[in-house]
Amino acid sequence: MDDFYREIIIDRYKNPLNQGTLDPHDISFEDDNPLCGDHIRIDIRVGEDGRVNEAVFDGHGCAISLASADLLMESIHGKTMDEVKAMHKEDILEMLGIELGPVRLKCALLSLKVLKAGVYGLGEASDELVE
Amino acid sequence: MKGIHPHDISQILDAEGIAIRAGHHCAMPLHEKFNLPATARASFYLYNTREEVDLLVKSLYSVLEIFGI
Repeated sequence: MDDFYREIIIDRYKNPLNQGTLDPHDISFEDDNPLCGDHIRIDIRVGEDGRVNEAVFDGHGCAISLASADLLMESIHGKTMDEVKAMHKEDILEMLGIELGPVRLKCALLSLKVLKAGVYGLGEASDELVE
Repeated sequence: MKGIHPHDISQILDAEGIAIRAGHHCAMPLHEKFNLPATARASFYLYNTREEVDLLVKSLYSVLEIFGI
């Protein structure tokens, strides 16, 4: 269990480094996981070079979903929109460094789903975005 | 348990062999009414032993410890 709740996950959950909202922003999207009630909103500012300049998340959820969101915001700094679109679930699992069952996997991938729906400019987020 | 999400509580208890329920318990409107994102619920029955209750209490303390609370 100590392995599952690695120090980085507890630390980012309790003291997130990239939490907040941006106004104005270039991209904003929010969605929730109806099964567990987790809710994530992501705001992004894109620089003139087309790369992510600022990225923050806000919302509520379990340690896995909020730590994933915080780490994800950090990882997309300086990325182009195409690079963000190319991200997939292995990128999140690598950052977390833990094995997840099917239920907790949804917690971990909520932020990536929200991010990709926002960057693609979709009306709603779908699980296919993070398959 | 303030500051700890019910799913995290249940995940840690599960690793100790204790199954509780976490989430909306098929009562989402009630949780919304009380402005609760989710709750954790332990239920007892005839077959539960005193040792299992002790393990539940001990494991709840380890939840606090893991989260540094």
